[in-house]
Amino acid sequence: MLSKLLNGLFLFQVKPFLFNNRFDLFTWMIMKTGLHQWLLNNPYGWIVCDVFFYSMPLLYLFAYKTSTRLVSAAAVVMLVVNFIYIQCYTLYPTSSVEGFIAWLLFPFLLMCITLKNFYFILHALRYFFLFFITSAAVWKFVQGGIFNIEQMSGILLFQHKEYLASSPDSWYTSFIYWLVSRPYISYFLYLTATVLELSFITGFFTRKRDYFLVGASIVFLLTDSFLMRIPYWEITPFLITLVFSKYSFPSSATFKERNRLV
Amino acid sequence: MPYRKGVAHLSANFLQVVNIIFVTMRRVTSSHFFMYLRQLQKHSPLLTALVIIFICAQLFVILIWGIVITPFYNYGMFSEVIKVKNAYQIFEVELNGKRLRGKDFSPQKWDKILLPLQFYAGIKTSNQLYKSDIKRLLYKMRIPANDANFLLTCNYQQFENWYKDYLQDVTNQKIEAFAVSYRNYQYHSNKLQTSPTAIPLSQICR
Repeated sequence: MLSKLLNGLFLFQVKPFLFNNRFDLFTWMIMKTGLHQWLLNNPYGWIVCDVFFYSMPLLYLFAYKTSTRLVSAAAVVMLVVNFIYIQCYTLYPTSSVEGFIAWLLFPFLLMCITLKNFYFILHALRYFFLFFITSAAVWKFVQGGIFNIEQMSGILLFQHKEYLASSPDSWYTSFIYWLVSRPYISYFLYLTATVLELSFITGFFTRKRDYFLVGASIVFLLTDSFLMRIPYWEITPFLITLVFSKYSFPSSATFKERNRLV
Repeated sequence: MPYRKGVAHLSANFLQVVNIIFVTMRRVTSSHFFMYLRQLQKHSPLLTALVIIFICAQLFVILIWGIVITPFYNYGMFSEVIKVKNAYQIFEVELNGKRLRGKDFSPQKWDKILLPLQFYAGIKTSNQLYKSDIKRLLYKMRIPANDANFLLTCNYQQFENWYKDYLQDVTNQKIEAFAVSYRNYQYHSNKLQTSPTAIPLSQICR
């Protein structure tokens, strides 16, 4: 939240003026309401939306401290607010909607008030994360990127073209040009990233390598940040699912005592 | 006889393949994921149904490829073939006679400077997407759509005024003069090299 505020990524700092359509059936339903149009050039609307969205964890905390019944209700409210806010936010010039997937799915985990449900949803999210990363590797085979030696050089030029053209004297520009002019080295990075992504498939068979997968995710995020200048940190909540996967299914004996989470 | 030997060899190979498939299937079905599903089914059939619906919806989005339905996406970023091109169209932003440089901004701030320009340039494509596909699909699903919610008009004067204020906030500089152009760059001798052909922003979306 602090990082978003400092980088000017709250809605009131983005000051939406225009939007672009995208091919998402759910987004069209939100667009049909006209909410995204209402928010254009509407400073009060931005502040209201930011307050709603960023106060949801506090609402949940309040419910958690107050009453068991309220916890699920607070999580449902959080789910609805997150879905609506993120749909509108990503229609404006901000970032891609896929990066917000943790904001969209974690409220399901927070809805659980029993230990067993929590355990199962946590694991469902873990499998989703494994699928998310593994499928990114599979797409590279399906769409052919992995079979193109020029791939990473092409990506780097496409991704950084404005940076490279505007800052020809920077060390980062020299570094990117160095990689672009050596397609085998840059392709090796692309291939390594794909193999790393593909290694997440092991998570479907065993939980023993989850710590390796946490490490791989962190390496992946750091590299993404440095090499592509894409901050993808909002998916980090999924790492929690890998860290906590070591805990086994709550047994019936202990279950009676620890059944209720709140 | 060579013919019989060939058949025997082929059937042995076939049995080997069947065996490999069988062993793989056994490994898959005894995997942690299937054990999880079995445990979940014992715990709550309702939760199992929800998880299976989620999986089916995700598979459906993969199979229809193209359209997505939040929260089911295709995670194929940078997976399509991307070649090094000879020419690139690049936005140049000048503020008080000085060009803005990527190295002076964090990735997030640099994106904040460029993305509105890309979105402004993309208005026509976005409108076209609505007219050619979104409207048709909504009509097919018998969902009435209001054009005003999906279409934007290119009003350069309004955009320029807004972008000027916006840029002032992002860069923390008072703006006296500012210019944006969309210039053609050639990639040769391992460098992006500027060319005289540039389109002013006012001409990009008309």
